[in-house]
Amino acid sequence: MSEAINVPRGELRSVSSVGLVNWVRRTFTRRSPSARVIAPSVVCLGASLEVDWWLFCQDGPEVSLITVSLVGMEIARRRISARTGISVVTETRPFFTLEIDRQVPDHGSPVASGQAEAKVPLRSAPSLAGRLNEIAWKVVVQASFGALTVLRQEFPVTVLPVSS
Amino acid sequence: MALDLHQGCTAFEPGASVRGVATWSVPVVPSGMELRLIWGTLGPGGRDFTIAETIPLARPLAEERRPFILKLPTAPYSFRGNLISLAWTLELVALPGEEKVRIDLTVAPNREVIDLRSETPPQPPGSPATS
Repeated sequence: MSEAINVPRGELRSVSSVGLVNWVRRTFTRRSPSARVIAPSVVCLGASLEVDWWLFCQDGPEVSLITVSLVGMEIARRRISARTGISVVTETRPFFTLEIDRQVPDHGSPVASGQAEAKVPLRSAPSLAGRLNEIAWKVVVQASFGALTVLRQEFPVTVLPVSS
Repeated sequence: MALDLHQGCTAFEPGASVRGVATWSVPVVPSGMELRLIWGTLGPGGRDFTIAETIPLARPLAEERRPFILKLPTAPYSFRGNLISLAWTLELVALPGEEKVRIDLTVAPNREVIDLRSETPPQPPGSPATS
């Protein structure tokens, strides 16, 4: 069976925030929502991933719901040639999504936080990076107000094969 | 040229040993024969592949039957997804012409290709797994 490997918990680095609205907010507003996640950066299939998270939204847009998820996704890149040059199109498809925390923040509170634990599935694909094809695992913090996504930040974690 | 695996088994646990026999009969003595263990991912944009191990079969004759044994790596696993899939291959290659035969292998826990195509079932709202 699997065992936890000895990787210390630390602050994970965010790689992306999706959405033009979000980018504009983050770039041009004085304060914009942002998330922090502390978790092990490496975990084995079948192991538990303990996640501490914070969402800072002081003076930012109102947030009515925060979700934290563990997501495994397939990423495929394709080069497309056109008269204007070669561009790379990236397709992503989640194959595993586990919501590990969901919180309705206190109205007007500048910070929301939580702790959660995710069980990485035992029978799945470990992280894999290739030139064209990739398997990536991420902790995703998403804040929304109604149907509007206010923030989506992704924090990569490396998932290793089952340790023996 | 032919590759025959012990008991015809083509599915293995990660880290397992693969036993088999490489057989060839060619008109000209090859300058070399190799076994290549390869894994590759295939997606809509093409194929990434890695040669995990090359085993040279020293001083080949024109006609021979060579038993071999090789140890598989512990990863990656064979999988099939919606966008990409990963497969292992064992090749017997005659040099210098690169004439080859190949066998597809499955390398995964329980010796079954991992199916990523079934997305996690949605959870009812307001019921996180843990908090």
